[in-house]
Amino acid sequence: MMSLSSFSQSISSSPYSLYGVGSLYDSDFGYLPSIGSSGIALPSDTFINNLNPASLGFMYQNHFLFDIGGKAIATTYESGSRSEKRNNFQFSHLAFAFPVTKNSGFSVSMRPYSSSVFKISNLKLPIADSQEYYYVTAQGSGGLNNLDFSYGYKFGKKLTLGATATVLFGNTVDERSFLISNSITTINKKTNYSGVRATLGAQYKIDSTFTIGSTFKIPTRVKASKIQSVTSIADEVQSSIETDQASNTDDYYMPLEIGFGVSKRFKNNLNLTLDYEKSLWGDTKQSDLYGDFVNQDRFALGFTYSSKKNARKYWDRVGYAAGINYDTGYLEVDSQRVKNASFSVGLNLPIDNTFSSLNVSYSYGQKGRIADDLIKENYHKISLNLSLDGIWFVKRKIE
Amino acid sequence: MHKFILILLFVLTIFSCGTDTDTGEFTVGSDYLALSNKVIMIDTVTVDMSTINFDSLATSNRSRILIGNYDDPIFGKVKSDSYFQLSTSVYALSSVGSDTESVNYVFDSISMILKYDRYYYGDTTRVQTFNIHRLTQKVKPNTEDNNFYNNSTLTYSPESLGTISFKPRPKEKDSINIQMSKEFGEALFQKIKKREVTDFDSFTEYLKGLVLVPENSTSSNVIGFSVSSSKVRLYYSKYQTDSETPFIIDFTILDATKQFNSISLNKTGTILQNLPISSSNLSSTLTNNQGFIQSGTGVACRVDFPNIKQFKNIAANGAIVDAELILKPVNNSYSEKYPLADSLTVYVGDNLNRISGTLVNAAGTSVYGKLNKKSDEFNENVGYSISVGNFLQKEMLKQSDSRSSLILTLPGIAQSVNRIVLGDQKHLNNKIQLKIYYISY
Repeated sequence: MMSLSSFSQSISSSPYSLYGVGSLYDSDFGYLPSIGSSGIALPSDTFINNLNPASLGFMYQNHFLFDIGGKAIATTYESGSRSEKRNNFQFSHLAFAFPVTKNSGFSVSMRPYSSSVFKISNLKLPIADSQEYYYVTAQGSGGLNNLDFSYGYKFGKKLTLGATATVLFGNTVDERSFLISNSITTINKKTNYSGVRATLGAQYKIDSTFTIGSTFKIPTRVKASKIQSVTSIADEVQSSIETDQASNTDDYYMPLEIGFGVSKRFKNNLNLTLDYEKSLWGDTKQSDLYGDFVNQDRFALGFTYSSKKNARKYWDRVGYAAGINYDTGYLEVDSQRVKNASFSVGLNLPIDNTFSSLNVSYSYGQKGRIADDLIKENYHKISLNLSLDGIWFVKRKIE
Repeated sequence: MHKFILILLFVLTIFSCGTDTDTGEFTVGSDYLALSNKVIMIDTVTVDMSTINFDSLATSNRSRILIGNYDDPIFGKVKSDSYFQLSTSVYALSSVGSDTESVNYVFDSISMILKYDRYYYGDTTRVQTFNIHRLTQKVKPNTEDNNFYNNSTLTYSPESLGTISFKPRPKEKDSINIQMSKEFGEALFQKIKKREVTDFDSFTEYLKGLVLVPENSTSSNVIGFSVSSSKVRLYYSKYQTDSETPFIIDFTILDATKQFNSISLNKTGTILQNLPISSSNLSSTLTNNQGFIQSGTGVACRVDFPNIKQFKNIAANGAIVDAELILKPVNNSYSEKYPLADSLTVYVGDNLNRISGTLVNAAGTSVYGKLNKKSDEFNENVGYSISVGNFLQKEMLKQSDSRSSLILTLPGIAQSVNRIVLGDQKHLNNKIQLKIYYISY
């Protein structure tokens, strides 16, 4: 449980973290990172599917599932004139799920929602309507966390419905120093966020190899309040303009998000997943303070392959996966969308004879583009997700 | 398998700790960055300028004998008389052990030696004349504060005890020597010789003081002399001896508080002739968009910021983080003869020109106007820059309706006669500028 404390200080440094409540994490469970994060129509049978609460209706009885993950990311930041490499490591998630009845399952998961870690050094900015300039040095830290309580129920043999209650909480700290003429003004702003959001999901098994799924994330308002201190240094003397002044600030709005997914198995060992999700950020009353938000489309496609069931050799039981993900982005910077595209490959390494497995995934992606005021991020990401099956624990006890 | 999990947790723990340093050189959306905290520079704020006249400047104890007069083309006729009381350490002739010997002393001469203190103003290539007169009134202040002022005067005898006409060379020469009246010297010598003057009291009873008065006919320059090293020297010697060794008695200004300069300005016919009393002011709109400062005579320039409180309306929360006031001397109002001072002294005053203190920065240190000498073809950049951010931020936040003004003078306000002409906001070539840097938060 020591890992829990780490959630609140997840490290991810991106220049785009300046916007909104920071850069959003993609922390998917099980082998989802390997298949381009597609899987709205996948069941929570061998792992916890965090993409759709309805999947919990398909949990096997007597299985207690546990999932923990982390990522190592190497990013190259490129602007027109330079590039810089940064590595970072972060916790992805911690989750468990268990069947409540024969027809229903429940899960609790904790994961970071966003990271507002960024840094700006001595950025020269023009003073409007003048020939003069000022300089900004800024540092952002903190981020929001996501605590999900999900429940899925199976109606008959084919239909499951589910719901998630998400608690969003956390804070961001933004410290900026302005060098204006001969003075330095420092503004330290800590913004606290709290909000609740509901997600509804459904999955329907058309036949034993074909499932469709859908999710509706309900729009919500995350309440924001800030505590701000302003100090000014002039003539080498620091004077306080405002100290720990608490006030309300513009709330953060989360949009209606509608997702559809299909899952189809071919020849008993190849599975295809295809998802589409629309996020209506443009329809929220998002304040300009958070940036320019636009409607977002996400496409995800994935394949998994495993040779045979009940294989004798270990390597025959290993699953192989690949996927692609394309995302038009929700942010517009200087009228340019910050798009994101990636592909991924992965291995599902079974542990013992249970559903327990170690999922290793590698993905390469690009975010943003090189333009006047934009940068491109090229990233290599390795995800390690450990999915454990409770049956395994039981077995150890018996031994 | 336990091992496996432990290893995994271990790896993840490491993951959470390490990250590369971010040099912060990559930023996206500079327009967005400027959004939450707006930084603006405003240079269109109204600045009012006017000229005021302090009724009295304490000119005693200023270490300078300021004498002379000159006709200023802008300000009018400037004149400074210098009054002082003399004294010496021993009111007796040399080795007055026996009366027989003292009888043999005879008076030789008396002269006044004035040491240049290198201050001058006006045209030093022209001849200046001044006279020494004897005071008929003791050097004693009328006021409770024991000061003499630029408008203080004492009565003196019309008879001149000595006169000099000379071209001042304050930079090249060390001093000037004025031969004084033999009758005056002989009389003083006899008083001491006959022991009628034996101490300070009897001396000041006999010689109350002297005043140096410039002659009105030669109006050319004003010169400064040192109070501490200027003196009246009486020479005497032994009668009928071969020895040429002269004896001397030096009378000096031992008490600097008993020396003052009476500085006057005749503004008749000038642009400043309607300058009102000290609690009022003369707007620059009535003086060709100019403000005036003159040391010694109490003419000072006042600057007001009538709309500064409107800054509160720019944003819900905002601060003036810096501001620069640039005052420009009017072209052709200064020259080698009337050089620009290196700095301006800045005071904070109220609407009745009552000074509360010097302008201070956030650290409590006095702020001066610093001269930018970078001259160009039209002298557009010659100006005094004053940092007024701290002052204006306080003015903006002030709860009461009262506003403070800045009152500008030249350094050495009480012991010199330098002057300057500054342009106001509507002046054609030498506009006063105010740049205010403001941030919303």
